[in-house]
Amino acid sequence: MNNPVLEVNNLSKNFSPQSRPAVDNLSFSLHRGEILGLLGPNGAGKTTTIQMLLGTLRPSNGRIAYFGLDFFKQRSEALEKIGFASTYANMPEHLSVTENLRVHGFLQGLSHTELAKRIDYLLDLFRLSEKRFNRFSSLSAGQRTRVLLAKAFLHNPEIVLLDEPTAALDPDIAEQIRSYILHEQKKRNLTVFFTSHNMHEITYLCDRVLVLKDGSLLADDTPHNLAAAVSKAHINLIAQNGFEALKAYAQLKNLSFIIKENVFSFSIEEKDIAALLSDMAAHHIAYTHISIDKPTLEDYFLQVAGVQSIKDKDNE
Amino acid sequence: MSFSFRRVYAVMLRNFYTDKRSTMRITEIFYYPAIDITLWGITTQWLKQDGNAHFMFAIATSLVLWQVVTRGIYEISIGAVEEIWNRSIINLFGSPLQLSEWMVALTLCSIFKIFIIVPYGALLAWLIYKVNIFSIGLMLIPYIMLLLGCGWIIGFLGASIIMRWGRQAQSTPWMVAWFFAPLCAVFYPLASLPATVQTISYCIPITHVFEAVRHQIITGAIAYNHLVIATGLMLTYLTLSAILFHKTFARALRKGLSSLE
Repeated sequence: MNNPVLEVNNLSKNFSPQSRPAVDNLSFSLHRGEILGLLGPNGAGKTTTIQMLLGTLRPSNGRIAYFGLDFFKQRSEALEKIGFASTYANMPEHLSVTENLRVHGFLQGLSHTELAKRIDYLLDLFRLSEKRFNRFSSLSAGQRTRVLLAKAFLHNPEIVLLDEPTAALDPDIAEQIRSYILHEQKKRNLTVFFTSHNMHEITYLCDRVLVLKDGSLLADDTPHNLAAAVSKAHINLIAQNGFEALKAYAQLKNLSFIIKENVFSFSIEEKDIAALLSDMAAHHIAYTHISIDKPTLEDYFLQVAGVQSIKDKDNE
Repeated sequence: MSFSFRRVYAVMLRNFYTDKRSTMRITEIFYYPAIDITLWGITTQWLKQDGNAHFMFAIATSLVLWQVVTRGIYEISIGAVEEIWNRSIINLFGSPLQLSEWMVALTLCSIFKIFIIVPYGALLAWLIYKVNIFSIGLMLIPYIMLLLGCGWIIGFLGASIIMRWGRQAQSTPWMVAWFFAPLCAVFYPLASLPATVQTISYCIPITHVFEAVRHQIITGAIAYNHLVIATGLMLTYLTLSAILFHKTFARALRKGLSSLE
């Protein structure tokens, strides 16, 4: 494999000696053309990690290297090749969309001509051309996010760090942005480091996912492999005569279940599905429709976040 | 790490855009000098003794030159506050911009504004009090340079406080600017201050510049002793305030720049 464009070794951040580290001994690497997702429940250390990768927060320990350069010694050189967008980082409110992009283009070292072309192209791509002279303060949350994304891609960066980039976007625009990221990845081997709460998005975009919990790295694998690590599948049933018989059966067998709208769902180990279905037949449990959902990345996330156990508890 | 003038230009452009779009920022450039010069000047006219022909000239000149100090303070500390107000500090320092480039850009912005404020203040002084502060001659240039440097010192001090305490210290620039005014003998001779305060005032470069200005107005001679002391103190304090700002910024980085917002 080629040399990593980002290498993180034993990265830690301790805000106070009395509390647990916000990020604890995190190590990973990111290769050219790879899309790496960062996943974790609230407070897992995702934002702390991304801030350290951006240089706006000093780590307590560890090393970050972009393109083989020590980030703490050659910060400006590294950041010239990095784009960044976060729903939580703003731009000056009084400035218009174009003015904000011009300022950031010059900060990234673009020339006047290059910058004018890139601004036109990106505003058109992100459907912001009509808003180019509007003040940043007058934009909606979705429009602001698109300006921030345009800023991140302004200088054709080699790596982009995106912190929940599609959180405030309408589904069609979010899809367009996902397509643009994949297009840039294919076209010029763009490398992406990405946090999101949208599991579908992570599964769709990411080649690999890092899972953080309480500041520690829990997993570093493909979305498919992480989903496969969850052994429980969901059996969804629709019964003609209500769910009383199904409920009684689930309680008898001590199975966890959820009733959502008119669908009754069992959570069960994948390997036990066949036995369960024949046992239900033996107990004359009738249903009109059945579907089986294989475990997804969302199931993995819920398991990591500890949400599954709460659900199970509610059902008990 | 190479210094980039393109990035300095970017920060200056950012401030220019803010000024252009913010009625408040444009107004304050003209409003405060006009208020200060009018209010204080009229008071002074009333207090003026006929026997002292230079009194009005000295006060009007001090009023105009004090605007140079406050501009130096505001450009730097307001520059820091603005990024925190806008929650844009992460985007700014998540770019290749270096702290030194940001500092240079803000100081250059204040220099540009001096080219507006001094002629404007001089015009007001001439229109209202028939005082021509340009009759001081070329010595006005070193006086302005020294006072602008002093403004930067206080500006970096204010910006350091903002970097240390973030949003909760946002009114600091205004407080710091006026904290130094009574100590620096801007509008009255150093000798009129109590002896103990004079000792403190003597350590502030602004005091020496205004003493030198008054000395020139009254005697026509240049007070080189005051200018030498002012230059030495200004350069020393400017270095120390820049170091302090660097250190508080490094501390802010340890806590995370987002904690300032």
